[in-house]
Amino acid sequence: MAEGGPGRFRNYRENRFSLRSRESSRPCKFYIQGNCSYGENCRFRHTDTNHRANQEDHPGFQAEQNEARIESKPNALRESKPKESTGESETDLKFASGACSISSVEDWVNAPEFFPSGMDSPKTYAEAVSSLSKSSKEVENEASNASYPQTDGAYGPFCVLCDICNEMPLDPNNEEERRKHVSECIKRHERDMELSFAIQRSKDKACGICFEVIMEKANGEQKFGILPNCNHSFCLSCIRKWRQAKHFDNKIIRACPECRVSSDFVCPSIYWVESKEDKEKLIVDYKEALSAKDCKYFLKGRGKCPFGNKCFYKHAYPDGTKADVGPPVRQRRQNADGEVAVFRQVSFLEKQSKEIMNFVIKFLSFLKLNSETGRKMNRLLQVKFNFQLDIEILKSKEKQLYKQ
Amino acid sequence: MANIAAQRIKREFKEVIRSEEVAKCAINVELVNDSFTELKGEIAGPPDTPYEGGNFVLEIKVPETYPFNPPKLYLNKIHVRFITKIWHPNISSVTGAICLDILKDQWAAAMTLRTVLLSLQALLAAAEPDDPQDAVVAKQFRECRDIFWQTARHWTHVYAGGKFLLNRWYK
Repeated sequence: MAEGGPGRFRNYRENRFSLRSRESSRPCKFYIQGNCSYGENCRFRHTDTNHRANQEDHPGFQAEQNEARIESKPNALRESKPKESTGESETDLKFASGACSISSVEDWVNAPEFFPSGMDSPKTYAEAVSSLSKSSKEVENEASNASYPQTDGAYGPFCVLCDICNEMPLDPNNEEERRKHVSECIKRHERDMELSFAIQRSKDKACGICFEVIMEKANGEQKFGILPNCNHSFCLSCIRKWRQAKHFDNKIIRACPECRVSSDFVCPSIYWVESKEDKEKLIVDYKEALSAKDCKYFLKGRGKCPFGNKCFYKHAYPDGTKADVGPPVRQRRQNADGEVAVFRQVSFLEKQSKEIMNFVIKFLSFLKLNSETGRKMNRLLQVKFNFQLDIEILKSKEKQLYKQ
Repeated sequence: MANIAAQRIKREFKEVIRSEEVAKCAINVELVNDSFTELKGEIAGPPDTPYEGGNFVLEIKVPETYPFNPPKLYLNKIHVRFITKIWHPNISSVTGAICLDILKDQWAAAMTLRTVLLSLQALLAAAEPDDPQDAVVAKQFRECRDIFWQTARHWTHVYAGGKFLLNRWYK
């Protein structure tokens, strides 16, 4: 039978609604708007006034009403139905008017087709859509907000789910709780949105050095290295490696490999950051996070940080007082080509470097070499051990040697 | 070969092959071995220069530390040497060594085979006699430009397969 499918559904619906008959004491929002699709089967009250409606208690009245609607309904709506079924529906109707009083559960098969009451008065498409576009939950919400007197427990006859998260049941009467939850919900929603935008932004950004898509790299390498002064994307490992490259001028390695705009530091980030505000926020957060960590050069006062007060890390003594270390210590030195290069002192090698110095000086005097060779050796030492000989000391030693 | 260098050269190779310059026969790259450590590059002589019509072949050696390390050092050098002989103030007429800042201290990690080859092509079009590699060529370039032009034209004809044009004047 063709009617089997929808019929079963309708049976279920009717059963369901008969169980919830107590809810029929509430006014139906859709009915008030004039287009409730459940019609007489609606679990809410179909009346404009506050007193309890009792039409559904009288099947005869219902049938009459339906008959009247069938006659008056627009032709357009009937076209969808096969023509031969029109006669059937009339006989069904007669049957229904008799059977309804016996059992309202079993007569669903014969129930006349329902047409909403609102169809009587022609509505424009826009009107119909605008009222339907509201989600049913929203309407329920509105209905519950209406001046309907609460009779049941603290949460009323039913709880209203938050219409943002769709999870949190809310007491329609507790305004404060509602507002609080909604604002939390909106914040969470905004966070989620920002995250998905960030992923969208980042997902096809390729590193300008290894040329790989950063989000598709191996685990642990999917980090962006953000340069504060330009908008070129690199993975953190690549840009850090580039900035540590030896034998280039500081000017070259501190510049962006793509545009040569110089940046003083690289800021790690999980997502790609492009807009100025976002970048500023990221940098502030980054500096804040670093300033909570102890500087590995300062060592709570035991060491010396080459970056001085430019260092992002915490410079504090063991008792917690913050240390004021002056500007970064820099050593000016002329390299073999006569260019002035600026080198940072490396503190952790200081002790060893003295020993190495002594050894090298002895070695050089043994070979009867001059400070020029020491200068050349410096380049080698810097590559291998990241430390330089002090040329001045070498020269003075040299003078002493020659005097002898 | 370090993973990053191999990966990058593979990508760059694809990039060059697909680039419009290859389509216009301005540059080309070919593999010499399977490991991507050695490549053969080709650039066409730019128009309105004595090198026009010539096809200049280069030997490109990719260091293990590519693309990070300085081309200056023996280990870390991206070694681009002209195999085809050329008469140019910034290229040694004997060894084919190139004097180009981006192959030395001005290198940047974001530069690619394609940009290097295009820079070389630009160098052919705009010589820098003040920073010469070949002093003889540079002197000739500065002092008697027409003879320089004819010599360069002749070398292009003999070594790079360019047409022999007698009466072109170098501006």
